Amino acid sequence: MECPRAAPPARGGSLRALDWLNFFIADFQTGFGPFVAVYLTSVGWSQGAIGWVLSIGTITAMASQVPAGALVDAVANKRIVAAAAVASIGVSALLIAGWPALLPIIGATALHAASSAVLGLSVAAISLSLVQREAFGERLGRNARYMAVGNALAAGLMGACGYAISDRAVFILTALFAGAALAAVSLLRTRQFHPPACRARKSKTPAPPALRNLLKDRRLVIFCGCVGLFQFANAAMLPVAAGQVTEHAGTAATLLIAGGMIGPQLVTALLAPQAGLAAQRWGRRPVLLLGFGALPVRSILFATVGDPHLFLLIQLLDGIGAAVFGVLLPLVVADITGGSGRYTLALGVVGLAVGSGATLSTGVAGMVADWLGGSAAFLVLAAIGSCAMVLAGTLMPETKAPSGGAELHRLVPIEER
Amino acid sequence: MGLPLDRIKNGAGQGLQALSESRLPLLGVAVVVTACAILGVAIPQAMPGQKSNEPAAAADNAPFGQVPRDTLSPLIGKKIRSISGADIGQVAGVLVDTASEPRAVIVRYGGFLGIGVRTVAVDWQSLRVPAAGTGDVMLADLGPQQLASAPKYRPDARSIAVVIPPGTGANSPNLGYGQ
Repeated sequence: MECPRAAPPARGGSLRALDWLNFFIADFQTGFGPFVAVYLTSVGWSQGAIGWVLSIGTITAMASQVPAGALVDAVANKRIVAAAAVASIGVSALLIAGWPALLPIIGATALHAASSAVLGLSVAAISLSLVQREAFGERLGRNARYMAVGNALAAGLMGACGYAISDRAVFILTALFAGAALAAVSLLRTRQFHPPACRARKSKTPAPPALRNLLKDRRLVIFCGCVGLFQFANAAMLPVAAGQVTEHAGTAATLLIAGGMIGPQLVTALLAPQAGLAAQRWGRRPVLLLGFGALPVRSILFATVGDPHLFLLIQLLDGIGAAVFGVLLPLVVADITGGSGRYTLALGVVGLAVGSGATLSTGVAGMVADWLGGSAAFLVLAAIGSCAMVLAGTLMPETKAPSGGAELHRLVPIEER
Repeated sequence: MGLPLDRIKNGAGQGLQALSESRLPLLGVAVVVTACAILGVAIPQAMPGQKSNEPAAAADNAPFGQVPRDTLSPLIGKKIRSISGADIGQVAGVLVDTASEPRAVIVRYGGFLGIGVRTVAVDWQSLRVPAAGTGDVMLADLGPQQLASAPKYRPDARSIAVVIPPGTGANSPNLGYGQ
């Protein structure tokens, strides 16, 4: 078989299907999270039981990151994996809506957590296989744009649904979005995924490096530290700030918080493709530092600004961080491991670091806010965010391949059997 | 429809084969399943009251008390409205004192889609059950602004701040608060 020098670009249909897949994924994922606690309270659960269920979700999510990475790498047909994950999430939404007893909810939470891990990784792998390496940053930016629009729309829709109909109806809506996502997956054409790499007939393909070898890659370890610290600083900021808005802003609080959640998504939708393009043109590090820099600024503003009505404006900075984080995380990991057959395994390891950071964030910020007040919590988060920036600025190397080497580092696509 | 059946079968077969060949995801799945199993057994033990208790007096042939259903309603999870109809929050828990009297309800309120929700304690006597047939809510002798300035409910604190109905001082004998 003749080796093509460059893989043919994917036809528009698959790329559009990928756009809509990202959109619908963001839609159905909006219903999960803190809203589950509101729903379970309204069906009579005690706060202790709700706390248990949320903890199980967190633990399952973190424990599934690396195994999901290995799984998605091992299966050649990423479409099937993505479809199975979406279907599982739809099932878990229906379980939550229809059967709010202890074991079904624990099962649904664990199922959702594990499936979300698998889904995110398979979408990243599918995106990588649909475009040229040089266009991957832009593709990720487009993914992030569609996710941001999906988040914004779903937040508004589900908030209205929960208010006007019932909390349970939100999970029915979630299941409907999952169905739409399945339709989008079915429109991805596997024929358009890159053809198998041409391998030298005589040499055997070298075995992909094992997990231990991955962890020996200094760039990956440092990047894990950077994104883990970033999420440590970032994850608790919105909940703590929103709690302060509820406390101080009176009747406008709910609308302010809604605006503070939707506004950053619109900023991300605007900026994400630009972040991808900039990462390709100027390199990953400048964009990373810019995105990481927005975080301590936002945190200090939260600590010092007293008027809760400015919450919405300050939250717009969240959009910058989210755009950079959402685009650069899969991009840098692809730089480091793309083509080795261990892309999603590496993504899983990074995902574990991110999840750990998020868990630490809510724990630490909650404690500091309780005993020292909200401003102290924000200052602590600002300090941690600055550490992330320093780490990225000093130890994190530039991972973008020099343009001359673009052909050499071209991804080795997964073989379709 | 989108996915042809044989491709699904191929994909599933590959997935199972990959799982069986690679130890890592299998180990991960085993860990997750074991953890869920352990938690699934441990949690019901840790949470009394989820099981129905057998009445201890069954052997005495003592009659069970009967209460008309429409005079009862579950408390936890019930929405709270102010007398004027404004949304206050939802009941998340009840605090009882050593005299077996309910003293306060724990109320979760505010936020959007669960973000920014606050938890405060509200005095039991500010709650009213509405007249029969007027809906599945509790009425509270409070305005939503009162919750906003209340300190957060902290289960571990030595003293719990409780929101009281307006117009009654904390030293009112009816409410039973010390100074």
